[in-house]
Amino acid sequence: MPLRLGPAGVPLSCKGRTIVEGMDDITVLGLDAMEVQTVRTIQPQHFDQYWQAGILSWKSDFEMNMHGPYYAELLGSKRERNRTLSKMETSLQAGKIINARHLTFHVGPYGEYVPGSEANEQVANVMAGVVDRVREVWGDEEEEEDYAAFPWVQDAEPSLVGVETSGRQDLWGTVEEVLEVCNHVEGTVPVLNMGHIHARGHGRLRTSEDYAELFDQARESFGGSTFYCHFAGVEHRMGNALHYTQIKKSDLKFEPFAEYLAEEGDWMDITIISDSPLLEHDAMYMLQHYDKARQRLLEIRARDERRVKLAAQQGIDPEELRRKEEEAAAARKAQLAEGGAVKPAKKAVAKGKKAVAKGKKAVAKGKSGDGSGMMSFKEDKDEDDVF
Amino acid sequence: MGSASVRIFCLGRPDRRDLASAVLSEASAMGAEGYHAVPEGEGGLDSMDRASVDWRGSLESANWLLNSSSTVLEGDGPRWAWGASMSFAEIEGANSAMLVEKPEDPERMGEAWGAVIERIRQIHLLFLEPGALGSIAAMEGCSEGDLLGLVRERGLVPLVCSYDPASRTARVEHPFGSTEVVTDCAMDVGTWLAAFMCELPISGRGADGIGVAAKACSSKFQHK
Repeated sequence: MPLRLGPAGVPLSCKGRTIVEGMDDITVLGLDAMEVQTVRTIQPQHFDQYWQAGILSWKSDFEMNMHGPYYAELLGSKRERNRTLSKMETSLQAGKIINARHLTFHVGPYGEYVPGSEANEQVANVMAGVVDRVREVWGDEEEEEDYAAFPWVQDAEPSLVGVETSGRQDLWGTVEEVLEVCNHVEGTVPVLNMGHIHARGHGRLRTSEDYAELFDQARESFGGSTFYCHFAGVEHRMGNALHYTQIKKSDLKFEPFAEYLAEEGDWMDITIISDSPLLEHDAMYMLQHYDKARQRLLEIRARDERRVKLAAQQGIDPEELRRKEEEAAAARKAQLAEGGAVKPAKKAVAKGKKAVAKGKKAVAKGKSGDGSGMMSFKEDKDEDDVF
Repeated sequence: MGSASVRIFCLGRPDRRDLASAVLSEASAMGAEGYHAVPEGEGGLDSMDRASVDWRGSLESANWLLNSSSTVLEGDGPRWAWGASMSFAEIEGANSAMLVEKPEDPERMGEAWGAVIERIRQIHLLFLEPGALGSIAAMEGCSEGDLLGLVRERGLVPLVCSYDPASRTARVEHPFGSTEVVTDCAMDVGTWLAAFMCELPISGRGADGIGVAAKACSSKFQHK
């Protein structure tokens, strides 16, 4: 399964602040994707580094992506919509230069629309226009000579337009809405922001089965196998995202997602972008958990294969062998438990004696001591090891 | 007053002529434990020795990290330190307070605001100086009155606030809605923010606590 992981922006630990320097740092960290943020107006001086980043991504196996304006009003008044579209135009121009594989856009508040098919149709119309515009700016034959040094403009597939799920009830972008629009507009891809989906669903993503349900829903209604996801911790209340947090501090855990990806994600081509306040640290945290889940799965598979081979050698059914192994394991556990129960009892007696001896000493010294034999263990502080 | 237990760590200029340093000084006068990242000296942050700051150790038990948007305009070094301080604050659990002020060169407001937006997810308290409201509202394409609420909604910052000394009005946008209070006595922007930061960890982050913190500061200055 192709899985790519990376941060949303130049890594926080990057000494330089250019995109190319950020790409270098991301590669060193073992990650292979990045989402460039065009949160503010793009200045002409940005284009130089965009070209460099585009060349680097074309020559290496590094996936570049671009995020549009950090808010949008596509369902607002004509003036609001045009303002958003002009910002999106800048993002898609920059996306071409940077060789972006995905361009991610928000839709914004429902505005005058009520949630339903009319709002979805309007979004689908706007997104269809955006897809057409992306195809126009990529691969324009008249510009072939101008872009001779930047072959991806002619040779690569145009960016996919990503429609992002939202994390608030008053914003367009439930999973169903996003999937419906992406299903109707070719060239779009659902951007599943797990933090938003979790918040909007009152904390719905808790187990690997919840992720399986989400991706089954996506597979059934969208049909594609290419997914672009955002992942960050989130604080939420009443179905609204309140604040982004690092993954460790949130009730949205990555482990179940990693488990799902390792066990059932073979059919997917997925990019996961960390947009947590600890960008690259959390991206690496995700990579570690994914590797662990894969490792665990490989161990289980190896054990199953070994069992089949052994069963064949012994001429019995593998299921029967599994039952025998389980019984043997249970017997071993019971034996250990018996042995374990005896040992602590002995220890407790020994400790009790020591405590009494200590109590006697304390009395002898004229100091107070409870002499109860109770011992307490101070737990070591759980050190965060993010660096 | 109870602000003795509040610890604030500030990345202010060595010459202490910036608003962030002024806020820290006011907070210290109110009983908070205030610490500067850079020792007092001359000039700005461009010559600071970034490696000399123990971010983790300093932020480990701090309630607040106080930063100013103007720091990013002082050069690459200060910009890096500014970003690093917020990352370490996030790791160590200190809340990050960002003071957005009008820069000396008003044309660089866009650059400063852009840097703040890039880091918006690491900010817990965003204070917009009244002088900066107009230009930020123009950049965001909204009215000054709607700005605080819009920034909170768009950036999901837990607290976005401002204080107008002329009308003595403090406005705080928070996850539970909006709070607007008139302080009992007139005070400058830095004093209000210092009092708010000192009071908030004690009064709590609920709507009532925010209201108390925004208002309670008035009583702190009656003795001044």
